[in-house]
Parts: sequence; C-alpha cells; structure tokens
Amino acid sequence: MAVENRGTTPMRIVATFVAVVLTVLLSPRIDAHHSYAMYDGAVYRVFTGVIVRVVPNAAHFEMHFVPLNDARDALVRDDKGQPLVWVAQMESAAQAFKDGITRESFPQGAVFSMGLHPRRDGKPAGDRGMSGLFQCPKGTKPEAGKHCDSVAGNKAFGAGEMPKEGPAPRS
Amino acid sequence: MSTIRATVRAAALSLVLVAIGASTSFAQLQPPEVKGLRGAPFPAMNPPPDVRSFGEGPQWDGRPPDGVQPLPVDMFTSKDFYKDRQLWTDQRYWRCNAPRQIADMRSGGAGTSTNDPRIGSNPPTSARWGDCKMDWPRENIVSPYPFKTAKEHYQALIADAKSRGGPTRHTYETMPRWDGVYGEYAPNGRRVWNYSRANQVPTLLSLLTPEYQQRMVRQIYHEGVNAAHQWSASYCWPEGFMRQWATGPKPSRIVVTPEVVLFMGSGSGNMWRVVHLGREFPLGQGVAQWYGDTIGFWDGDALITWTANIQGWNQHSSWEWSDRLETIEILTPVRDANGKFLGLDWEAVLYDPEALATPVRILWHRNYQQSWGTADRLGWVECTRPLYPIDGYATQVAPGQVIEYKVPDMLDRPWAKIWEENFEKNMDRPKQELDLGFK
Repeated sequence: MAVENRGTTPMRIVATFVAVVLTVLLSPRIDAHHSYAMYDGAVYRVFTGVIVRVVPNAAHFEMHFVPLNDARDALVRDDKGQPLVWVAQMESAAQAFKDGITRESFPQGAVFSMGLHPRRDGKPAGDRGMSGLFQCPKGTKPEAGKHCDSVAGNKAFGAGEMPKEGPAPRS
Repeated sequence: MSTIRATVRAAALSLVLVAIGASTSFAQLQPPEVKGLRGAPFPAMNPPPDVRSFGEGPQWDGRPPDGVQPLPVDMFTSKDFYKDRQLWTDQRYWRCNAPRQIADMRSGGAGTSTNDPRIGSNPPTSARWGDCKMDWPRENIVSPYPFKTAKEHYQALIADAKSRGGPTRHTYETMPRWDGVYGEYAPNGRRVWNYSRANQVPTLLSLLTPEYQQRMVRQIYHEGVNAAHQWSASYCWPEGFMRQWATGPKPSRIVVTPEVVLFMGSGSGNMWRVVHLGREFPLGQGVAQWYGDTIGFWDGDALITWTANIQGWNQHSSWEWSDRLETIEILTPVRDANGKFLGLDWEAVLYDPEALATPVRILWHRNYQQSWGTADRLGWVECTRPLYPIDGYATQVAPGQVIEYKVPDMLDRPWAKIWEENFEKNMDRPKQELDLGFK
C-alpha cells in the first residue's frame, strides 16, 4: 500500500524497523523464479530515475527506468546518446500490487527513487532487495544529489528506507 | 434402362443431400435477433469469400487486370510507404490483394512452400494482382448496434434480460449442455473477415484510427516487400486475444458449470478463457491478461459475456489492438429441425477506442463435433523452439550455432522495432521519441 509521507518521525522509524524485521523473518520470497546469485547483495546502488514502464509479469515483476543525473535535470544516456534503461527486478507481482505498485500508480514519466543490488557483471539491472521505494509528487523532482524521500508529499511503496550508496547493511 | 434408373436415383439422392446441406447452412450464422442488442442480420452472407488472385502463373507477374490503370507508385515499387499515405486508401496501391495474400506472396500459405510464388520472378515489383472486384462489404463488419462502449452494450443486454425476468440462473440440472469439442464452421472454405483474406486493404484500414492504420500498413509492407514476417509464433511470443478469430489457438473445447464457462484450445499456443457468471469487474489485480477478464450471464440458453483488461498486441497480416480493446460476445445454440444440437453461433462485438475508428463485429459458428468422452486429449503446448530475428528475418538456427541476439522489449511492440532497425533506415518515419519529461 502506498503511504504519503509528510515528515519523518521517531514513531515512523520504529514502525518501519518493525515492518522490515517482520518482513525479513516472516516472508519467504514467494514466487521467486530464478536464483538471485547474479546480483551483488553486498552493495546498494541508489537511483532517482524516470519510469519507462512497469512490467507486471507474475514471475518477474520489473520496473524499467532511466536514471537522472546527479543534478536531477537530465536523463543518463549511453555512449550513443540514447536513454540508458535500467531494469529493476522487484518482489513477486502479488507483493508489488500489495505495495501499490501498478501501471496506474507508476505511469511513464513518474519520478521515483530506490536502491538496487546491481548485477555483478555491471550491466544495467539489479534487484530491489530491502530498499524502500519512494515516488516524487507529480511534476516534482529532488534537489541535486537527493532522492524522492526528501521531497515533501512523497509516497512510499512498501516498507524500507532509502539505503545509502555502497556496502549494504548486514541483515 | 437400368443406367437411366440409377442416374435418376443418384440425382434424387443428390437433391436430398443438397437440401439437407442447405437447411444446415441456413440454421447456422442466423442467431435470434433482439433488436438493437444482438443477432442483427447481415446484408449479405457470412462468412465471406477470400479475395482471389486475378491470374495464376508467371504470365501474370506484375500484370494488372484488364481495364485497371496501375498507380505510378504502389507498395511493391515504393521505397517509403510512409510518404504514400494518400495512396493507402486506393486498392491499386495494394494491387487489389487482401492483406493475407500479400503476406503469402512468397509461400503457399503458412507452413506451405510453393514453386510458383505470387511475388513473381522479379520481387517485389513483379507481385501479382488480386481480384479488384472482390471485397467483403464494410457494412457487414461495422457494428450494427448503437453503443460506443462494451460497458454500455453489456448493461443494455442485462437490462433486456431483466425485462424478461432474467438473467437466468442455471443449476447443474438446467444448464445448457455445451460441453464438448468444437471445430470451425467454414462452408466452402469461407472464413470470417478477421482472417484478412476477404477484404481489400483500404476497407480494413477504414476501420482503424490513423495511428493504427499506419501500424497495419507497416506490417503489410514489410511482409509483402521485405518478406520480414514477425509472426508471434515464430518467436514463441504470445499469440494474443484477436488470434482466436484468425489462425491462432481457438476455443475448441467448452466446459459449462453453474459458476463458470470455460473456453479452451491449443494450437500455435494455448488459449484459456473463463466466463465468470454473475460477477462484476474487477476480477483481480489490474494486470492486463492475454485473453482478458470475462464476466457473463445466461439469458435463457444464450450466454452473454463482456471481456476487458486485454493485453494489447498484434496479429500478423492484420491490425493491432490496444489495451483498451473490450468485447461483447453472445453465444446462442443452433439446432436442426429435429432439435439436434449443431453448435454455437458466436457473435463478437469489438470495442477499442484507441485502435478502431468504429466498433466492429465478427459472427462465426463453432460446430459441435463430439463429447469430451470420445475426443483425444486436449494438449498443452509449450513453445520451446523458436526462430530468431537475424537481420530482421525470422530465421531457423541449428542447435549449437552462436548468434547475436538483441533482447526485445516485449511490451513495446517488438515486431515494430525489428522493422525499424533493419528496413526503415532510409524512410521518413514519423518520429516517436521516448518523452520522459527530461532532456
């Protein structure tokens, strides 16, 4: 379920922590249809990007997006000048819908932020892991170097905080 | 004398058989009419005849029918069909061929080769002509009903059923006994118009919105001129909803219960549709389904359904549909004079405000063949041995061979991307940039 964030409070931090722990302890990765060995679970890369498409396949729910640059004013492009599309491997489709992630809630052009455990081979794809997922209100974007969780009125989709870029915390 | 007697007897027998056949033909494709709602008769017989080739053999390569003045440029001589938009509505641009005739220019049809391809000896300019006088009337295709949306149509059908004490709630004891195996009724080889064999191209284009006209033209051009068929089954891609009314998997089996009616079939893929009786939308999470979500009700022994939430996709040699496609389908039983169940008249009214300029209708008949109890098993098909797009052509690749393969974006019309990258480099294609709101 999507939650609108008006500010960060101690209660919210505690609630989020409890939710994360419960999620980790009680929820097996249902409907996982492939090994996650290809992803480097020891690392998070953190993105703010723009949605190209949500792909709600039952087996492999994906979000296709183009990252924004650090200034948050332009798309990241490949060496041919084309938008560089990343693929985020999400949880099961059922869990994604439970979190409110749909084609309607993430239309093309929606700006959002999340962390990914990147593919070990450096290709533009990764797995969400336990990262939080935050969407900027329509028509807004974060300040340079920041993410959607910093924008007033952002929405959280599912549990989790924005991770820091670099080593992932051990669970 | 005995010869004469035998001849007279044979003639009489033939007349009886013809009469029986005629009455059977009459019984089918004539569903009961409820004015303004369902069963509207056609101005002419359905299903339609296929467009013929105007002439057979090499002497007809590139040769128009007598009295037909060819255009200075047509699809077989054009280098850029995008620039010819004003000609798309002229049947001579297509040399009077139906879309499927164009797709089959180099073959004898799907799965069949030929030693006399209609593309002629100097492809593509030597392509042969079809019969310019054949065209299934447009008024037989557009919906005869006043509704703009499937929802309106469905609500009107329910209201009508209610006015007569319905909808009917069948039990195991009363429900129609439709369970069994069905085939396609194609008298004299005639098939419904959606096979894209019975119409001149401009007639079908007139049913589409401008963007979807361009999509269909693009497909016909690359199939006919470049022989670059991107047929879904070639690549083990899904067949999609509309392929039921073409050469894709069809509803060949039916199971009826008081809660649901199942349509199932397999062929170049599997089709599986569940009519949820007495339910309302939504039936689940809002993920588009390849065969949509279907609700329905009984009106006596007629099954009336509404299908929505269909995945937009493509049918080769024909028109694409969007995620907004919805259908109203009405199934009515057909019996002969003795009350024997012959099968189902199956009327489908298609609403797609994105792809279709006007709602359209298909009326076909599913012939009852036998019960589940005597039929072969219904197989489940898993497509595991695809062709691969190499230089834009669906190509067989032997096990062990290494190829370069570009991963398609499956929900972004991958067939179009293949044509764009391999055959349209020098064309003036309207720009369709990805606009994400950032530079």
